[in-house]
Amino acid sequence: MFGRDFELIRFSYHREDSRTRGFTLVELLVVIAIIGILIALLLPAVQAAREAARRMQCTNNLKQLGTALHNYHLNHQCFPAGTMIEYDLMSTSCIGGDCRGTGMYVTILPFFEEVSLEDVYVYDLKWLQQPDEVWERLENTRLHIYICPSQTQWSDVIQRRDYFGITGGKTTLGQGWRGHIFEDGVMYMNSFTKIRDITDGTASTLAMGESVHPTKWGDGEKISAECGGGACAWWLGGATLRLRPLMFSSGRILRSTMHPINSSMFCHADNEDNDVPCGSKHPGGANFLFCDGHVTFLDESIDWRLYQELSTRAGGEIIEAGLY
Amino acid sequence: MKGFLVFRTRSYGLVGIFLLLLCPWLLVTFGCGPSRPEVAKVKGKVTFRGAPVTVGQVIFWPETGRSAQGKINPDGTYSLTTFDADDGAVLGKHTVTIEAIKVHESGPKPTSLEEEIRMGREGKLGSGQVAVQQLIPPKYANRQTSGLSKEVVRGENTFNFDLQ
Repeated sequence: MFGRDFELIRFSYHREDSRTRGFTLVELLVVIAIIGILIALLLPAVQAAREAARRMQCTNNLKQLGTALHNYHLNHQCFPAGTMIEYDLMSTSCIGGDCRGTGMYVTILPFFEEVSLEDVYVYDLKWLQQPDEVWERLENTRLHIYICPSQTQWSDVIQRRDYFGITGGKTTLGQGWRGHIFEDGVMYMNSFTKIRDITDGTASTLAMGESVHPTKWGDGEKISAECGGGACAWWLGGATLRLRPLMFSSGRILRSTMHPINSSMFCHADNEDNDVPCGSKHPGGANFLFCDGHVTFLDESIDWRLYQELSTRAGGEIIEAGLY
Repeated sequence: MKGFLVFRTRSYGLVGIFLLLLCPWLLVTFGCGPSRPEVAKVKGKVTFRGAPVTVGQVIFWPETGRSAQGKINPDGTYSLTTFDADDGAVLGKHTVTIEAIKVHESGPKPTSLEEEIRMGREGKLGSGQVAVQQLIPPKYANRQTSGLSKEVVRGENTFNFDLQ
């Protein structure tokens, strides 16, 4: 019985062998084609999974920042000011007419376990006057909580930050030398907003958002060029001119909702730097942190009115849940 | 039998090549691209008392949807962008705001962050004069007071604004 089977196999093998040796070119092409199709089907799925993971990490960063903001509120009875600047005549924040303050990204450091880094920073000297050894330390510190992994354009900028406080965007206070000034949001110059000031409800008011658009006075190449800019260092604060709060420069620390998400502003003038939009490298929108600590991915085709209403703390609008 | 086999392998090859060509088409057609509202091209020219406005921006605010912006070129022309460069604005009625300011600043200007830090420490920043000049009345920059509205329709739209 076994012998007969063996004979059969041997016979058929012998028959194949006598007709064709190996594969024909056409057969090979068919196999390659099939493999090609399978890879083509699989590759986008793999890329999408990778991007989904990056987006999740980005969401997590913002969530952690939300916790930090709330811990700050517990300690100080208010959210951190977008930037603290004294610009009066007697101010020590100014050298000549140029006034600098400390940004919120330094003041919230102890609330995500970076106490030692905050200890290095000299508050009395504001951000531009830090001693050289402090500069060295700040410049060479990468804070992963401030970095969105989908933004790969500035991966070599160690001190980068991709998240910004939302300063509002519905009603402008005026236009200064660096663009529009908004103070209808939660984070602005000397804001110190309390939760009770957010009468629109913390669940429908933006606290922070992503922005990956170059800032005129950022870091990296092409700084301050006619058509360019770069990433923002995380420890930067705002600037204004002495006695002239409307000359506030917030492009390095805050974002408004004046322009839509991912609005194209590849070439902006010096006097438009405050108007840089929120945006991200995630397809179709950007992540936003709300004042109650939840994080939502807002679609870039969101209605401009709704987007601006979300950014106000006391606009008096009633925003239906599920609209965004 | 031999002829049949040759025919079969040949057709497999053809089917394979056909499927290979089909693949990109399938991905493009059934891929999960963003669903965007319909937009139409918008361009035009902004003048103030007859003379072209040389800087600034035009913003179209639709009744619902995403707003569109356009930078004003030195010759006064503009072209709106909603999603991609110069794609226009969403269809429908829009409130239009136009702003044009010019900043005059004297004094040294840093060209890098390092330079800014150095100049700031030496007290060279903020020493010059800064003045913000409105090239057109600021009422045109406000949605409530601009009084400008346009309706964007399918096809090419040309809207010229002669401000007074």
